[in-house]
Amino acid sequence: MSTVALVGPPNSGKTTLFNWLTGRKQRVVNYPGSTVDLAMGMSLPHLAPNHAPIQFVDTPGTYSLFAKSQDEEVTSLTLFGGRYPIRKIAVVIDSTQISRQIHLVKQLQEAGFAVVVALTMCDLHEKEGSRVDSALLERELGTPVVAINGVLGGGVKDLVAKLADLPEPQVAIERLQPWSAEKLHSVFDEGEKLARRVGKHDLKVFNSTRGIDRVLLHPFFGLVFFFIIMFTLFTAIYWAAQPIMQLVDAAFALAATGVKQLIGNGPVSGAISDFLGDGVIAGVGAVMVFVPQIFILFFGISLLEDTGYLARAATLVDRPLSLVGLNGKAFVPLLSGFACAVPAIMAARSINSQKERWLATFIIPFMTCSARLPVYALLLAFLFWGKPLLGGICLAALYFGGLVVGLVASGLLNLIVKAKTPSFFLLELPLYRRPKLMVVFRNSLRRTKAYITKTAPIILALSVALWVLTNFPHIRSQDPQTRLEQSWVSAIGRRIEPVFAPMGVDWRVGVGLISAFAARETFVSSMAVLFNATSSVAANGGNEDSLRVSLIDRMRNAKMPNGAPVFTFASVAALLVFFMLALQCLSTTSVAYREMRSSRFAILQLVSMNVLAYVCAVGTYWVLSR
Amino acid sequence: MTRLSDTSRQRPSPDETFTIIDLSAESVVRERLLELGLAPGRSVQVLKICPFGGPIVVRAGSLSLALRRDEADHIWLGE
Ligand SMILES: Nc1nc2c(ncn2[C@@H]2O[C@H](COP(=O)(O)OP(=O)(O)O)[C@@H](O)[C@H]2O)c(=O)[nH]1
Repeated sequence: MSTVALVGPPNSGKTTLFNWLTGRKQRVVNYPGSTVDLAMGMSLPHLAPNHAPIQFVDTPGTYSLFAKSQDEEVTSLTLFGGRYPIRKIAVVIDSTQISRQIHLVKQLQEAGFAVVVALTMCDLHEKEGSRVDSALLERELGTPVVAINGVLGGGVKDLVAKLADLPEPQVAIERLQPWSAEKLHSVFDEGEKLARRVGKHDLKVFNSTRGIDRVLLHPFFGLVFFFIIMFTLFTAIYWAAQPIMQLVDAAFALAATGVKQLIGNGPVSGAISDFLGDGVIAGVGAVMVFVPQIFILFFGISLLEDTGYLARAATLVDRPLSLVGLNGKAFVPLLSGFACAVPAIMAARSINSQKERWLATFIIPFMTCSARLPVYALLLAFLFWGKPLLGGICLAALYFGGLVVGLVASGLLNLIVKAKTPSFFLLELPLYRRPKLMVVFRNSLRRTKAYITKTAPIILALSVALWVLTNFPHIRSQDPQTRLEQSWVSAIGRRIEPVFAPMGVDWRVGVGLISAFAARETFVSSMAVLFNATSSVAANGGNEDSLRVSLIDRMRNAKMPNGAPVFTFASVAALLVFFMLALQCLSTTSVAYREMRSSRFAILQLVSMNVLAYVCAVGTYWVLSR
Repeated sequence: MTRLSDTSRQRPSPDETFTIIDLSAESVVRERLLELGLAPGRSVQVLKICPFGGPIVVRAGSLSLALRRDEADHIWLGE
C-alpha cells in the first residue's frame, strides 16, 4: 500500500486538510530517534468510493527540502529515509503565498516524486471577488492542481481522486542536492511572475492583519495587550478551574467513602475496601483533579494558536528570553508550567530549535505547578498561623523564586550545552483568523487525553505501591497507627533517616517527601497518615480545612526521639525550599523522557534538580537554625 | 547602504520601501532568508521594531517576518 505525504510550509493548512482527508481516525507516530510527531491516517471511505483507500501522513511544516531545523529534518527523513514507501505527495500551498512557496513544488518534482498541488485558502480570494486560476497553474507546473477550501472541505474529494489516478513516478527518488543561490533566485522570480497571473496579488486580508498588528505589536499597547491576554489565561487556569477541581476532588472522596461503606469493614473486606478507597480511587483522583485545569490550559493555547496571536506573543517576549538562551516560543510552555509541568513539556514541542526546546524542557519543572499549592498551603499555614499577609508574601516569593532559579539555570546551561543545529529566530507572522471553536475544542480534548494517558498509569501505580508499603505487613491490624509504625515504609524511612536529618526533620517527613514523588500533593495526605491526623478528623466528619487544622496541631506537637520538636521555623522553611526546587514528580520525568527521547536528559534533570533542592534545603536549615 | 538592524534608530514609517542589496549572513541563515523570499533585489518594509533590542518585523510581499537583530545585522538595505 502506498503512502501519500502532505508536505508544505508552516501554516499552509496541512493539518486542516489532513483532518478533512482522514477524519478522526488518526494515529500519531514518532519518527525513530526524533522528538517530532507524525500523524498518519487512512482516507475516509466516502472520499474515494471507486478507489482503494489511501494512507496519508502529515509532515511537519517545511519551507524547503533542505532542512534547517529539527522538525524540517523529520520531514526530510520521512520523505527520503526509506521507512515509508512514499512516492506521491500532496504539496500544500497557500494560495495567498504562491510566489514564495512554489519552489517547494519544484524541489519535490526534481527529487522525483509524483505531486499534486493542494491549493488552500482559496476561499480568501473568493471572499474578495477574485479567483485563483488553478488551470493555469496546472499547465505551468505540469502537474495536477486542486483548489481546496479548508473551511468547508471543498475540493478534498477531487484531491483524493487526482492522487489515486496519478501514475507512480518512473524514476528513482533521490535526496536533492542543495540548490545554489542563483537557482533559488531564478525559481523565485519565475514563481513571482506566475503568481501574478494565477491570482490577485495583494488581498485585503493582509491589510487588516497589518492593521491589527499595528496595535498588537505596538511597543507600548502591544505589551499591555500581551499582559492582559496572558493574565487572563493564567487566571483561567488558576481560579476559573478551582471550583471544578474541587468538585472533582469531592466526587472522588465521595466515591472512596462509598466504596468503603459498600464493602464493609471486616478483617479482610476492610483491607480490600481500604485498598480500593485509599490506593486505587485516590490514585485516579490525583490525576483527575487536574484535568479541568489542563483542559482549560490547552484550550487557551489552541485558541491563541488558531487566531495567529501566538506568533506575535513569541515576537514580543523574544528579547528577554533570549538573554537566558531561550526564545519567544518558550513563553507559553513556561507559563503552562505554572499549571503543570506535563502539559507544559508537551507544549514545548512548538519550539522548533532543538537547543531552545532542550533548555525550556529542562527548566519547566522549576515553575510552581499547582500540585505544589496544597503543600505550600499546609507549610505556610504552619509557619504563619493567623498571619495571612505574611503567608501571602511568602507564597509570592516561592513562585518568584522558582521562576528566577529556572531562568538562571537556563542561562547557565546555555553556556554549557552545545547546539546540534544552528539556532536562529526567523518567525513568520501568519494572518489573523477567526478561531474555529470546534477545532480548538477537539484539539484540546485530544491533548488532554494524551495528558491522562501519560500520567495516569504512573500516578496510579505509585499510589498503589505507596498504599501497600504503608499497610503491609500488618494489614490485619485494626489500629492504623500500629499498622503504619511497623510498616515497610517506616522500616525504609528509619533506615534512610540520616539523609533527612540535615534538613532538620525525622523519618516520617522523609517518607512524606518520598511519597510526594507520586504527585507532590500526596505529601499532605501522607503527612496526615504519618502523624495520625486523619482519625481525629474522620471522627467529626471532617473536610479538607479541618484536616489541615488538625494536621497542623499534630505537627506542632510532633517530637523527635530526643524530645526536640520536628517542625521548627528552620525545618519548615527548609521543606518549602525543597518543594520549590525539587523535581518530585515521576510523571514529569517520564514525559520529559518521552518528549526528548533521551533517558540521559530525564535522569540528568531528575538528579540535578533534586540534588540542588536538597543542598539548598540543608543550607536553609543550617542558616536558620543557628 | 545600511543594515536592517540600523533601522531601529531611524524608525522608518511602514510605508517606506527599502531594497535588499546584500545578505552577509552565514550559510544556513542566508539560505533560509533566500527561501523566504528575502533576496537581494527584493523590497521590504519595516513594520515594527520591538523595544529593548527585540525583534524587527518586516514585510516582503505577502510575507510578514519577525527576525532578531542578530539576523537583521546581515541584511543590507538601500533606498
Ligand atoms: N480561510 C481558510 N483558512 C484555512 C484554510 N486551511 C487552513 N486554514 C486555517 O489556517 C491556519 C493554519 O492551518 P493549519 O492546518 O494548522 O496549517 P499547518 O501549519 O500547515 O498544519 C488555521 O487557523 C486554519 O484554520 C483554508 O482553506 N481557508
